[in-house]
Amino acid sequence: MRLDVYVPMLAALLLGAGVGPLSRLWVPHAAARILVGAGVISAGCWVWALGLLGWTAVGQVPLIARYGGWSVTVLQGADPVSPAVAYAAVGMLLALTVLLAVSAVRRTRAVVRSWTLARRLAPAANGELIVVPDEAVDAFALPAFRRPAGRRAVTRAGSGHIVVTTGMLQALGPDERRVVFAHERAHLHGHDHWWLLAAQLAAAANPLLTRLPGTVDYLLERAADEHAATAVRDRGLAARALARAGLAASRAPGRPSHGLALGYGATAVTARVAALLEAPPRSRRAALVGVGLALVFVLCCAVDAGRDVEHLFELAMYARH
Amino acid sequence: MAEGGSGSGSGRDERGLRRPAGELENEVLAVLWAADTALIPAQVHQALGPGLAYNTVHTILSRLHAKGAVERERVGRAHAYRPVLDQNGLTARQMRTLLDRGSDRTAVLRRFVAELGGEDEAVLAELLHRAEARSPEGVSRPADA
Repeated sequence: MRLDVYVPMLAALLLGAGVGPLSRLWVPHAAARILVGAGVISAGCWVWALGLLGWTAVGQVPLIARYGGWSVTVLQGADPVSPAVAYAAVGMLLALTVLLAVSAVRRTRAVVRSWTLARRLAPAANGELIVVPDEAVDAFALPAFRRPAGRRAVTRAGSGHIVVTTGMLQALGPDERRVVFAHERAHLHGHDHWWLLAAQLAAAANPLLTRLPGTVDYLLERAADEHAATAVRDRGLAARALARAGLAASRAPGRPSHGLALGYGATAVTARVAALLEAPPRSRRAALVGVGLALVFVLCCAVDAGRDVEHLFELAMYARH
Repeated sequence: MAEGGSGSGSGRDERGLRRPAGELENEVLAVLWAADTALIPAQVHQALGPGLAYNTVHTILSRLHAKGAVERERVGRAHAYRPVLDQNGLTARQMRTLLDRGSDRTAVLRRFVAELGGEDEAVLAELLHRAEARSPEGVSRPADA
């Protein structure tokens, strides 16, 4: 209890600080999933540890102690957590609840918006493809949250649509368009939007993981790039398609006016092209084992801390009777 | 019709890669959308490159027409195809309005290219040059646009 309750915080601190170097240990597809998994577990343990710390203070409130049937004096005497730490934990939990609620509302609204877009674009779909007559250079994967009700919208279950503007189609050659299609298809099949959502919620629950969503976002793009390069069996072609699309997008008149929503900012596309021009990335098994062991250790500490708090309150209950 | 395997609804490109019918339909549709005018099957075939059999392209165009995704008109002895603009579909302006609403739309939509900064253009041009140098077939783009 004296130490292990703080282990999840240390873990979150390390993960939050090391998310960049960690992301380069595995191929992007695996790295995104490993980091999201680690982030969700770490954020969960962090909230649990804060709850334990806070509960030692809340349990000393006379009214709650009377309902619970334990002795406040015994609890005060045996409690290894200083009141200042305990109340700080309570305050932080309250603040995090607000943050998490705000984040959940924003994400839900984004999902609803994209669902509206999918519903309104569906009538124009041929299979999975939706072409929008627009000179802006844009292409994106539009996940299906529900089976679209369009006339011709017969897609495979659990996937969605590939939306592409005529501006994008005109900017690329036929082989380069195949890269775009394969890239967006990878997003749909990987259910990438759910992975990013999990990373965003983990970061909302634990501010130490602020950099996690941006990194995961970039990794998901890289993973789709690698998938596309494999699909067309030509890394150079994949790099060319991305560079040409990026160039066309930066020169197009109908360029989106909104800010840098990706967090990675301006260098993301150039970094992706550069990565495609290099040798394919490789994964390190040993690093995965290391992260796995670290997570198991954190989980054990969280469970142990929970048991310690339970014993503390049992002690205070017996002392009263 | 046998060589391209078009009867079974799939094609094989020059690298021996089998691709499902849906993907080929996407590529044919993309060529039609990228063109300013209606195209005859020979033009679509030429734009897609030597990988696909002419018969495959012809079959896909017929299938797209049967589905109502493209319309065609007679040009001499052939049909010229153009994509159908769906009246119920969203216009570009409506789509942009929906996309621009809220800054966190990337939470759901995965875009091919995100917003770019001013200095990216030069770097991208340089990278494109390197990419083209690496795969020689990229220098001579098929004349489709």
